[in-house]
Formats: sequence, C-alpha cells, structure tokens
Amino acid sequence: MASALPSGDMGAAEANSGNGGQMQKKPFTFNEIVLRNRLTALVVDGDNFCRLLEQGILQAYGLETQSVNNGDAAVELIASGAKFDLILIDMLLPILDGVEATRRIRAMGMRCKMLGVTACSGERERQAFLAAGVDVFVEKPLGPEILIPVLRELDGQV
Amino acid sequence: MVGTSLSQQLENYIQTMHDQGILDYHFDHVKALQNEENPRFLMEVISMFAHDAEAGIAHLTTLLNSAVVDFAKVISFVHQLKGSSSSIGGVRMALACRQIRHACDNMDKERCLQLLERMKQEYNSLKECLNIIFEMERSIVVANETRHRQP
Repeated sequence: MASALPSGDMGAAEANSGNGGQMQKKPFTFNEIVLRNRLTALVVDGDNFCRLLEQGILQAYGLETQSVNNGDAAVELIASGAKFDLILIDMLLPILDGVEATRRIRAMGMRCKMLGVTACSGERERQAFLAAGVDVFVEKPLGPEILIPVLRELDGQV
Repeated sequence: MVGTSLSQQLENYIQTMHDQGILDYHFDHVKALQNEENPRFLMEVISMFAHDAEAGIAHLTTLLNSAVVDFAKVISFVHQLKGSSSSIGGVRMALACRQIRHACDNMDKERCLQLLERMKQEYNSLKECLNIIFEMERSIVVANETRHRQP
C-alpha cells in the first residue's frame, strides 16, 4: 500500500504536532518554472478528459494551447501552416492514429518537440512511436518531472 | 472561518487517500489547476471523469460478455480508462486497466472478465473517494460565495 508519509524521525514528529497527526504537505503549484518567452503547444488526444487536463496543465505553465481530437485534424492543422513549439500526441487516436500522424507531421518538416503521451506502455509501442518521430515517449499521465525540463529547454533556460 | 476549516478538512482527506494508495500525486496536479476564475473546475473534472469512466466500463462489460470478443476494441476502451484514471490520480484503477491489457494481449477472455470485476471494484473505491471530495469542494464553493455576497 502506497504511503505518502516519510519514515519517522524528529523532523516528521515536529511537523505532525499540532495538526491532529497530519503531515503539513506543501501544496503543489505550477510556479516551478516561469517562462520568459511565448511558447505554443498543440494537444492531440481523442479523449476529452485527458485533452482537458493536458491543455490545462500546459496553460498553467504559461503556454498558449490548441487541441484537436484526432490524428487527421493534427496533420491538417500543421499542413495549414500552424506552427507550435511543442506537440503532445497520443498513440491511439480516431481517424488517423498517433504513430502515422507523427510520421506525416515530421515528413512535412515540422521539427518541434513532440512528446508521445499515451496510456500504452509496451516496449514495442514505445519503439514504434519513437521511430515515427516523437522525441520522448511518455506513459500517461504527463508529470512535471518530464514536462518541466522540456519547457526549460524550449524556453532557452538551459 | 468556516471556509478555511473546510479546506483543511479537504486537504486532510486527500492526504488520507494518498496514504491508502487510492490517489497519487497526479490528483494534486489536477486540483492545482483550479483557480479563482474557475472555482468549480475540480467538481467539473470529477463529474467528467465519472461520466466517461462509467460509459467506458459499460462498453467493456458488453464487449467482454460477447460470444466472440473483439479484443482490439476492448484494448481501445481499456486504454481510455487507463489514461483517464491515471491522469486523475486513480493509481489502483489504472493498474487494474494495465492488467486487463495484458490479458487482452493473451486473448484470455476469462482472465479479462475476472480483471474487469477487479477494475470495477477499484473504480467504485475511487468514485467514492472522488464523491466525498466533490461534496467537500461544493461546500467550500458555497461558503466562499456566501462570504463574498456579505456586505
């Protein structure tokens, strides 16, 4: 069973006192990185819920975002001339899957950072997505430990 | 102040859910997306998750109880549920979905059906937890709205 509490020590005991035994955990914020530049991102996910969250997270970090719910719409958007600094793309997508959509986007010369963010976790799927052209294969959900270094790189902070 | 007390109760409850392994830290990321411009965001997200999850589980149940199982479709719904449950921090439900995926790879219908029941149990635990959070959030929103209306 997962536990969020650290092993017992004097620091933890002191933190627990005066709060009914509950650890005072620092609340998560999106302030770990402050962007200096305007960054844009496209979220490609067929699931409304995941698309909402991924867009929300990117916006919370300061990016301007667009989203589409299938691979064909993503390819059409890029073909129309839209440019993005970052694309988050799922693997299993309606109409045109993420692997083929990625291949076509790269074939159009789009060299932006692409993260394959998917619930798939198999090695074969990982290799297929990377071979198609995503820079990073991420098993959902996309967490700050992966996203923040990417944003720092895109923002020229490294 | 009533609002502050409710917020602390909510934080304590969420911590308890972390300790019990029902929610992981991704829930905290979702919660952090809520702001003054959209004070009901967490309630909306929880409602959306529950609606989509129940539809997905219903589809899975129908597919896996078919005489001939279309495992490709099963995998599609399982992935959707895995993605959404992991995104809201429902780590146990996401793990159950991963196990169903493995059973699909082996085209093992009976194993899929067993694991589907386990996944439903994990969903029910997660839903119960999220419902409590939903109600606590609603109380906080109402308390804040009442306070803002007072002269």
